[in-house]
Parts: sequence; structure tokens; C-alpha cells
Amino acid sequence: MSLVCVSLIACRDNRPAPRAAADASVEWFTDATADAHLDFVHVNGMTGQFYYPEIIAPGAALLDYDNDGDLDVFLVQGGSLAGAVSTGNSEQGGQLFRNDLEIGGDGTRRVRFMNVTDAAGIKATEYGMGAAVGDYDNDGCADLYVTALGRNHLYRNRCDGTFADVTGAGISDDGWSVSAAFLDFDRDGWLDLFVGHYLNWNRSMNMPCFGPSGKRVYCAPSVYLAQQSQLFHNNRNGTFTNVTTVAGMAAQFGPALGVTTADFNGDGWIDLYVANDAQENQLWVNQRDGTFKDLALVAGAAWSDPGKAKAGMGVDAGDVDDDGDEDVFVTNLSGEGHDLYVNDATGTFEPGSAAAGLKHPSLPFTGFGTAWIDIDNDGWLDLLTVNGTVQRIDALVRENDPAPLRQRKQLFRNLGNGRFEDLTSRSGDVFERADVGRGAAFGNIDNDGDTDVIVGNNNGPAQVLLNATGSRNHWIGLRLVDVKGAAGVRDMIGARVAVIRDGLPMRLRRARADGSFASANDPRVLVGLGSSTQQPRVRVTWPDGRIEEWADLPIDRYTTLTAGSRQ
Amino acid sequence: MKTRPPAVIAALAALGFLVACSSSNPDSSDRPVQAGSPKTHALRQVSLPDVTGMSPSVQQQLRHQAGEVTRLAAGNAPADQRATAFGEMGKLLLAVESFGDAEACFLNASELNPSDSRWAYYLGHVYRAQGESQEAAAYFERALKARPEEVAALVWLGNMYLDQGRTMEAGPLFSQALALDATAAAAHVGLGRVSLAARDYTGAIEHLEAALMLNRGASSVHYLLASAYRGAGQVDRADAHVRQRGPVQIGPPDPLMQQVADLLRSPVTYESRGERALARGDFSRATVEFRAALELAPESLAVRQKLATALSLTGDVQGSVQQLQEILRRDPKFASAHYSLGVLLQANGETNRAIEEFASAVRYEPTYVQARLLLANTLRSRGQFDRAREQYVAVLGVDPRIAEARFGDAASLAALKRFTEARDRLAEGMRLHPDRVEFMSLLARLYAAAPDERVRDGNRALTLAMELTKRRDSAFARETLAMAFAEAGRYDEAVTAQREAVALADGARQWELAARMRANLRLFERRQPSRTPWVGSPIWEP
Repeated sequence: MSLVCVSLIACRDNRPAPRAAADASVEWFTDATADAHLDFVHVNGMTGQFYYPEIIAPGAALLDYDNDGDLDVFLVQGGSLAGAVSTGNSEQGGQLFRNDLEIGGDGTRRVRFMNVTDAAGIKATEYGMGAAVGDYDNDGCADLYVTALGRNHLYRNRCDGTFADVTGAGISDDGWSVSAAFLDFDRDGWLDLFVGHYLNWNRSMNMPCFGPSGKRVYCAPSVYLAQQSQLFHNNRNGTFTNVTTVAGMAAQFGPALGVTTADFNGDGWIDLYVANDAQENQLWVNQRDGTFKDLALVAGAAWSDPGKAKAGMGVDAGDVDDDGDEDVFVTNLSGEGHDLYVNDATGTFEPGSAAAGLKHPSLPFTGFGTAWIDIDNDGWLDLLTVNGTVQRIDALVRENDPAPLRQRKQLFRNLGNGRFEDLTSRSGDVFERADVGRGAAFGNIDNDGDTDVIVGNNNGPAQVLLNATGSRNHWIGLRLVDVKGAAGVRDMIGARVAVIRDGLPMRLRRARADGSFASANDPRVLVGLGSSTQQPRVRVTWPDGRIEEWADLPIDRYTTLTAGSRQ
Repeated sequence: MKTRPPAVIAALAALGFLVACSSSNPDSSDRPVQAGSPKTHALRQVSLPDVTGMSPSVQQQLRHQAGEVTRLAAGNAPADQRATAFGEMGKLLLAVESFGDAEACFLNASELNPSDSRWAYYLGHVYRAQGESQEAAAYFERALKARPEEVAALVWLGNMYLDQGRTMEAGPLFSQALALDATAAAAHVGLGRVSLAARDYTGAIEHLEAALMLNRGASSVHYLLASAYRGAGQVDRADAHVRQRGPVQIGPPDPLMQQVADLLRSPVTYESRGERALARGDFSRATVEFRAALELAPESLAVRQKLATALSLTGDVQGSVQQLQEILRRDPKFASAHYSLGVLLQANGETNRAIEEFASAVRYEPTYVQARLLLANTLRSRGQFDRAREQYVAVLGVDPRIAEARFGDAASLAALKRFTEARDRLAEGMRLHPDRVEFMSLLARLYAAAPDERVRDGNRALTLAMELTKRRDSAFARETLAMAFAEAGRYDEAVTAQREAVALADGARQWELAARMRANLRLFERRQPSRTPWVGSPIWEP
């Protein structure tokens, strides 16, 4: 599609005929939590005191910590808020589960998780919020960053199945942070780190807030001061330097809940989008000199129609309209509707949620984790959101529901004509069940070529949702790496991929682990090819701007593409 | 409807309510109740929400109205009376945000008296509040069928259509609303949104500007206007509106929903009504609402504080001070009362006492940014620069976004003749707050005229001063440019710029400023640079 097509709406007429709406109920996902032995229940420490942090977490992370080719899971734990400051859950803490994926001779797959927290040496006992994943030391092994109410922790993967807590490596960060993202903002080949901070809160500051009837409710975020988000520059020696002020980010921040990174203005440098809770969202545009400028207001991405700063929580970027740029989706509070910001290829956005059919069905829901995923591998990016309110639902309270914030997840299918179809009510049991959904990590857990989901539920069990339909279509899987030192390869987060086929639309994706809410996603790139068996050409734009192209890549399998190998 | 747990049933029984109209039908607790009139369909069972934790006054209101519904049902009252009783109950339940129960009440009211369009209208709001825009639209449509001239329903229906992406259908509704009420700013906003969706930026600008003309306080419209001007290629205007953006939205004139907003008699609702009155500048109304809240919750110091604020804004300083003193009698550590007292004392010229009150406020609430900032500014104005700096630094420690504190700190450093640090702090301010020209202004003057030669840099001064005059031309900016020219040795240009500065000050009848500027002019005419970056305490413009 031509870049002169400036938006989702404008390009509509040039598109292929829209895909038919799904007319039958389809079990898009199956809940494999029990079969997979993902035995984890989040504890929020709720005491009846309406402590604000109890309704925010948890996130989840997908990472291949043991480099065995399948995705393992880290789940963030809460704990008690009864102390003067959070005490976390010293007995349990965040948990690491190894994926012992079994593939039978007939191709059948069985995901089995084994709790390896102790063996891995992870003691994430702060009151946890979220997680980010990236190989910050370029040793070829995925490292883990855990955000918390309290001190965040960086766990360096020793490449032997264990982690070392290296929190002191110039990256000490206290306060209350939720979502974080690794990104190479200076294109030096080393991952830097952005940590989105939320509110200035501790137990002694907890304010009583009341609804119109006089009933106690959770406070609005405006009751507390926002906390300054932090940007850390990788010193390339295992340590970081806090560059928040130098980068120009010290004096403009809101209560950050969601973070995603992408090159929004197409200049080849990675930018940041931050979803703030009830304050303007931010679009930090990389100035290519180590500094950023927040251009969200002038770019039309700070607020949304009707001119309101919404309760931004989850966020993701993706080329939803196949016009070659990164569009942004943000989940919001019930009554607000989720937002789609449609990029015009220059980093300027137009509101597109209502026109795309996303606003109206999302109005009753409070959305958190979300991602652009191609659920059916037809090549168009669809949407999944996990939901759960932040105020108690009267009807559930009456039923003595211990988690009276529960809401169903939602699934929206991209019709390829600028509009989405709400499939929620026709998507089977997974979408009938209501939970207090917060984090959601997206990735191909069973390596069958479609996108699965790990859901972090507040004060409830984590879930494994396996995609039951995507692998019926063809796909191409790419791991984008760079050779670094003797230890092996590292994922090239931020690399962009164009999948090119004759007579078919070009698909643009990027390698990323960030986005969603408080969670880390599969860094591999998965592109649906529909029914086409044509072997595509793949053009990769590496984070440093170099471009390489591969021809006739095999489909229905993963291929590792190494930077510099085509030169 | 799901079965209610026994404990809640017991609680409701204790309240004397409620199975709708069920007192004549002892078996009806778990199923819809038949209305007395044979012409009506089965009514929905309605119940009180869980009232635990509600204000006693609200519980009383709910209990009273529930009794009314039950009494009329038991007496086989006429359908329209029963409808009204259900409707009033629904309004209460809508006000306490018990939407499911409100829905049942309004449905019953509508069933019993279909000709009364109010109930359909309220049902529209019940669904709207829950994000169910299709249902909401259906009921607003029904309400409009009965009363097509209802401006509020037209606007709300238009808004629902916009949420659903039905812009073509929304436009005529807003137009109709405007035809009925030309002052309906919300209808202009709706038409502006319709135009934006169609990329008709000229139309959007026309309607959104009209909305602002009708309601200057509707700050959220500025964001939409910025989008429209940007779309029309008028970037400067877009930026100007971005700077004026705010959270205040415009709703339609809506007497029916106003009834709901005014319905509850709880401290919280009186307080929030008072806050809304304060926000719209109706200070007398605010005092009435806050007094009503205090009657129900006399122990609430926060409400008393707001009453004191409202009183001071009505000009009743004595009454305000009395309320603040009463707060401090009850709790000597109530920080915001100290702060407010300080403000009143300062306005009365009692600066030393004001400083004491501000200091008390931050002692009892160290993160009280406004109090700390005012303390710092007051100390700086009194020449106590070291003490002022302590407070500015503390403010930035709590909230680094506060540009004014960074500016005050830099100005204090300069006053302490720590010019290098002042320069660095101003440069940091420029980087972190690029939209605030105050940093650029002072930094240019430091480069041009700092007594410390290590700080002076004529070229940099000139670059900044030229940019400054582009962004905000004024007598002060022209003088800054003149000082920079002088430092760069370009005295002829300095003299020209300084004469322009003097003329601007004269034109603005700023005689004192003009006189001081003439002194600099004489310097430049003698081909001498200035060594006084500024006189007095630089002022931060809010």
C-alpha cells in the first residue's frame, strides 16, 4: 500500500474487498492452564483498606531463559501491603516456570511448565508489578527486569539456568513502577531501559475516597502525584547510567502504566509511547542525539476524541492498516472506550477508534493487557484485550464474589477494510469467563506458528491461553539476531521486518518484547500468510539502520536471520 | 436475576424494603412481581443495593423512596403514580451508581406509564453510564420520539452515534439541537467532531470556535480545535490551542440529569457540587453546598477547608479566617488550613506571619508542593535566597515537573551571585521545559550581562535573544536583545533595540521599566555593555 495513503480511513477504498465477518462461533483459544501445570495464583494482599496498588498488578513475561527454543514464563507476585511500605511476598515472590514443550511424532504439542524459581536463584519478593525482558549485556541470554512497588530488580541471566540480582548496577530505581521497556535508543547495539513510573504512594499516604453514596471506593489517580519515569543508558559494561534529565524526560511525565517502543515517525530511530492514567499520553520522539521530545500533543496522540485524557493502561503499536507505519492502540477505563491512533506515516495521528468499530464495544470494559496479534494468521493484525474494572461491581459484591472486578476478555478481528469485528461473544469459553485481567504476555508458546497468551489475573490464577486456530493458515517465523562475542546471539529488539510476496500485500512487523501492560512478549516475529504457500522475500531493517534482504524463506517454520550475514 | 445471598436479604428486610410491590405477594421474592393493573406486563423485581457503607442520609433517602414504592404497590395505586414512584427510585439508584437496580426501576416506570418519556431518557443514561451505547441510543431514540424537541436527548444520541462511528447520522441530531437552542455549545462540539471525522477542518473550526464562544471555560475544546487547525495547516493556531487545553468538557443543558445530580443528600455529593460550583466560579453557590456538607459531616476538616476557600473567594475574609481557625483548633497540624491562612495573611500584607503559616504547612505535610512553592517565592521576594533555594529544591524533589521551582531556584542562585550555577540551572530549565520562554529569557541575560565573565557569552546571548523576540516579543525581550548586541560589541544595533524596548515600555505605560531601560540605553550609547542582568526579582508568569 502506498505511503501516500495517510490513514486507515483514507486508505479504505484502495483495499482488497473486506474479509467476511466470522459467522460462526469459534474456539479461538483454549485454556491450557491446568494441562500446562502453570500453577500460580496472584496475591494482592487486599485488606479492605482500598490500598491503591492492590488493584494494579500483575504482569507476566515470556522469555526463553534457557535458550532451548521455547518460551518460558515469569509471573509477577504481589504480597502484603500491611506494612508501612510494601513487604511483598517473602514466602513466594515472582515465579519462573520453564517450558518443557513436548512435541509428539505426529506433531502434537504439549506445553508443560516446571517451576524453577529456586533453581534459577530468583528471589523477586518485592510487591511486584510487571516485568521486562532484554539481553542487556549482549551475552546471548535473556535478562529479566521486574518492576515493583518498592525497588525494581534486574536479574542478569548467567546463561547457565540461573540469574544474578544485579540491581545495584547503576539501575537502582525505587518508587512505584509498572511497565518497562528495553530499547536501543542510541543505536549503539546495547539495550537501554525505560521504566514507567506510576504514582507517589505508600501506605501512610493512602487517602480515603468515597463514591457519591458515601461508600468507600478506590481513589482516582489524580489524588496522588505522578512519579517521574526513568531512562537508563547502557554503559556497555554491565552497568547503566540514569539519563532521565539529560534525555529531557525529567520534567514531563504522568502516571505511566503502559509503554511501547517503535519508530513512529519513520526516521529509523526508536521512539517511545507512554500511556498515562488520566493524564495526557506521551510520544517521546527520539532526537537522535540522546534526547527525546514529547510530541504527543502536536502529533494528536496525547488525548483522544472528545478531547479528554483517558485512563491509559495497556498499549501496543503495530501496522494495523498495512500502510507501513506504526499505529497505536491504548486500553482505557470503562465508559471511555479504547483508543486507536492511526499514524499518517509521519508520526502524526488521527483518532480512529470509533470509525474502526473498536470504541463502542470496548466502552463497558476496563482494559489492561493488549496486543496486536494475528489470531488467525491471515496477515491482518487483530486485537485481544484482557479486562477487569478498578471499582467494585455491585452485582458481584452482592454475590459475595471475592474478586468483584471481573470482566470478560475481548477479541476483535481485523476485517482488512479499516474496521474490526467484535468476536468476543462467539469465541468460546475463554471469552465467556470473567477475570480481573491485568498483564498479558503474547507469544508462540507451543511453537506451532500462532500467538498464544499468558494472562496475569489480579488476586487470581494466571492463565495459559493456547491459540487453537492460527496454525491452520500458513506463517513465517523469524528470529532476528546479532552475533555478539563468544557467547552466542542476541535478539535484535527494534528490528523491522517487511514480508514481501508477489501480488500480495506487504506485511510489516517489528521484533519487540514490550507493549501490553506490565508484561514482556515473545521477541520473535510471526507473520501470518493466509492460504498462500508462496515463499516470501524478507527485508530486515536492523536497529542501526542497515537493511538486508533474504529471498525464498521457508514458510511454516522459524528461521533465524543474523545481522550482517547477507553482506 | 441472580439469587441474593441470605445475609443481604436480611439486611434489606431490616430496611423495610424491598421486593418491588411485593408486600401483597409474599411468594414473589424470587420472581418478577405482577403489577396491579391488568394492562401492564410483568414488572421487574427491583431491590436496594448493598447499602453498607453508604452515608446514613443516603440510606434514609433510599429507604424512604423504597417505602413509597411499596406503599403504592400495596394500595393498588394508579399506574402513573406507581410509575413516578419507580422513576424517583430509579433516579436515586442512578445517583448512587447502582445501575442494574436503576435500570429495573426505570423499566418498570416506563412499563407503567409509557407516555412519560423521562423514563426512557433516564434509561438511556443508565446504559450510557455502563458503556452500553447501543442500548443507550435506543432509549434516547425512544425519548426523542415522544419529545423530539428535547435538546439534551438529541445531543446525547448524537454522542452515542459518534461512539459507534455513525457520524453521518450524528450530524443532523446536533444540527437539530442547535436549531432548537442556538446556545447549546455541546451541539457545536458534536458538529465539530463530525466535521473532524470527515476531515472538514474548516467546518470543525467554525463549530468548535462557536462552542468556545458560548462556553469559554470548556477547556477540552481547545484540544479538538488544535486538531482542526493542524488539519487545516494552521500550525501556530494549533499550538496556541494546545497550550490552552484542559479537562473541562461541555454537556448539553440537561434539566433531567441535573435533578439526578442534585438528588443525593450526602456529604460527598454536597462537597462535589461545591467543587463544581467553585470550578465554574459560582462561589456563593459553593459556600451553600459546602455548608450543607458540613451539616451532615461537621467533623470533616477537608470540607471546612473548602468552605473557607469559597468564603474567601466571595470576599468574606473574616468568615474564611474563622473557618480556618476552627480547623486548626480541631487539628493544629492540618496543613492546608495553615496554607490558606498564609495566603490570606499575605494578601493582607502580613508577610512574616504568612511565611510562618506556609512553613507550618510544609512542616506538617512535607509533600505539599503549592505551600512549599509559595513559601519559596515569598522568601525570595524578601531577599532570603538561601532559604528560598532550600524550598525550591524540596519542591523539585517532590515533583520535578514544576518549572516555576526550577526558575525560582535559578533566579535565587543569580541573586546569590552564583552565576555559573544559575546558568546551568537555566539551561536545564530550557531543556526540560522547552515551552517556557522564561528560562531562555534569563539565560540570554546572564550570557549578556552577568558580572561573572566566565558566564558571559555574547554569541550565545544573541542567539537566544533573537529566538526570544521571535517567540515572545516584549519590551523585556527587546532589551534582552539589546544587551546581547552590546555584549557582542554591536552597539549600534544595541541602541536601536534598546530604543524599541523603551518605546514598547512607554506604549504600555510601564513608566518605571521605561526609566530603567533609558539608563541602559545611555550605557549602550556610550558603547558600554550592561553588567546587570536584571533588576529585582524575575517574575514567573503563570
